[in-house]
Amino acid sequence: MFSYKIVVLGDFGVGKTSLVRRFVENSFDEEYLSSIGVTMSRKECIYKGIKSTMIIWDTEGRTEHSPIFKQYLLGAKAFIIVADLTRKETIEAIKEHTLLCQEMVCNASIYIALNKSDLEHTPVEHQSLRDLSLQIVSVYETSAKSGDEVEEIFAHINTSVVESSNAKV
Amino acid sequence: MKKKHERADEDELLLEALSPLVNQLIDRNYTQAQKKMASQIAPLLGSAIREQVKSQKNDIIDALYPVLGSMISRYVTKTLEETIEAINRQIHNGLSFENIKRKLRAKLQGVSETELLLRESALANVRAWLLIHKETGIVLAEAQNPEKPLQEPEMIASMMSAISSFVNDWIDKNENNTELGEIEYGNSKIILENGGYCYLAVVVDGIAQQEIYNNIRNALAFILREYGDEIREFSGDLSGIANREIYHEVGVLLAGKQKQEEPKTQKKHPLLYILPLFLLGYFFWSLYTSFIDRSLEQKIYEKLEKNKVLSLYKIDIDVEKSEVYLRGVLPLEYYKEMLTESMHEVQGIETIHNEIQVHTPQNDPMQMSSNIHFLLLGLNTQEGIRVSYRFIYPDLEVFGEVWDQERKERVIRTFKDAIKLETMDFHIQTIAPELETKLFFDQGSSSIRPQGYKKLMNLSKELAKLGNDVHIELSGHTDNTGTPEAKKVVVEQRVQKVSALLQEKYGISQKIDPKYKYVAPLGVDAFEDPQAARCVIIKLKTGR
Repeated sequence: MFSYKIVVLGDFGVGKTSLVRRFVENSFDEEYLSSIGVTMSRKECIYKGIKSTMIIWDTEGRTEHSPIFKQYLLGAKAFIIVADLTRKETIEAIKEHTLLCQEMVCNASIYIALNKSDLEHTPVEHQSLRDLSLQIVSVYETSAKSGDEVEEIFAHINTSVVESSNAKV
Repeated sequence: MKKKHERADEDELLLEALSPLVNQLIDRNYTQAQKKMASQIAPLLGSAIREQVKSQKNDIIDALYPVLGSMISRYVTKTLEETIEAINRQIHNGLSFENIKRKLRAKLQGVSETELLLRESALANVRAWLLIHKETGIVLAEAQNPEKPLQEPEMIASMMSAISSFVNDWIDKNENNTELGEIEYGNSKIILENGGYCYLAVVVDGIAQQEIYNNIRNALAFILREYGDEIREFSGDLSGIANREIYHEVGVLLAGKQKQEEPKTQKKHPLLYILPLFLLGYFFWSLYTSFIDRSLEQKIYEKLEKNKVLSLYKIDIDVEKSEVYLRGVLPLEYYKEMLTESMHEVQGIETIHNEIQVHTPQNDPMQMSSNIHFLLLGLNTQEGIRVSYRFIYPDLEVFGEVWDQERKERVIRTFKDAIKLETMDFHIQTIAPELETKLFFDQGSSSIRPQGYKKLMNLSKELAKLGNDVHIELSGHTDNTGTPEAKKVVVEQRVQKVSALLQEKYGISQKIDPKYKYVAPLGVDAFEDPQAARCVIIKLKTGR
């Protein structure tokens, strides 16, 4: 039995929830989202015969008035920082989110999802994003709409978590 | 100074003139724009109350007390009503096994059944427990009441962690680092007991009594003691924590009630029910048969007490499954039979096992003496037996005469059979009866006269009563006539004739001892009475 938490964060409207919904069919009641700023989903994964449960904390998008609640980041095995390829400011905010993740969990890997890749956008240089932190493992250009790269990013997370956990054992 | 006074008067006049107008204005505004006013005043209310609480705390308490009091009493009444309803429901369950068990438990614990019911109705409702990792909200271990399972416990755990973090961080920021203790919803609540790296969330339906809080604390203490290190180092792998032991121990600690209910959900082997029932049945059956047997025993004893003879003797009576065993010693076979017959008169006996021993006491010297006396009387009535005795306990001496060996043996045998004594001396002589028969003959003749035959027949009848140890002596005699040779011949012929007649005609088995005298018998003068001299004398002698 293996169970771990990942946290999805990013600015308001970047498509975090759509991304998670695309990956997980069964999402939890979203009414809570407006109340406490987070919604939960669960996804059973399997890698090399090892079953694991991924608990996804989908945090409310950051706005000027509602900062991301730090406590929700605690204990995460991995973070997905989501940005909107069509909105430059959300990409710029990745740096700030990365710092927040680093502050809260120093050894969790960070994955960056540049969402809405199905829409027209200016290309973004991945390397500069990777250089933001040593904790950043990978940058994906995803599309919640088409499903592009969505499965891959979550699968990548699961693989790393399970492998690193096995390595510890 | 004067100017100042004038100013004051003006103000007063103005106030008097405007007051009705202002009041009218307020009234009109109030009726026309109630909503607007409410929205304008609302933000101020919180601050106003806070300010009032700070400065006039007691006033606020006094003002709210009547309202709060009735609110609380209404809430309490409602809760009590619900509780009583739950109790009524339980009572309506009637004579269920659970009910009987509770009655017994109430007796054993010395508390009222209602109190137990109250406790059950409050405690019975632990619906689930979740051991949750504090930071991640991951369920480390959990168990649920299968009748009312939780939907998505992992999600609930995550949400609770989020809510807990949210509440603890935002609302209680300024207090002394307290943790969220409970989340209530509807008639249920989630009790949260916080540890360092984890917390135990227990979902309870209904009223949660102090006992359940204690149980939760104990359960968490157990978890931290046993799994504290693993929880601190938790990295996703649940196998170390979520094991059977934790489910069992936490289940047991959380609710005695749940622990008791647990076996209900497991299927029990039918033998577990049958065996106690069988044993119980056997116990009652044994009790019943034992009761029947004892009352039968009593009836038998009563019957025996009424019997004048049998009541004198000690008779043991055992009754097993209506079978009667009679044991003891009675002096007579007759009494034994009497006992069996009297048992037939007692109703309810299936079988009689009469194991009574008959033992006639014979070693009483007086009894023995009289027995010997009667035995002797009896023996002496028999022909050919003349015996008497000397008895000085324990020595018996029997002496006397009998006709033959057979009679002697009979006497000895009779004594030995009837009298149980170690030493008995017998001095019994066998003496043949004095039977003398004379057969007379004509001169020179050896022919048997008719009377002779009659005598021989009578003799043979007597001889038949005697044993072979008796011998027959035949003495041949004659008169003085004839030559000695002629005398010899005739004497021998006469003896042989008689001998032959006895053996062949009358079947005498005794040995015959012939004696030839050739002279007259003793005491007979052949010259004076030659007829008496011509004879054969038959005598009996005891053989050696």
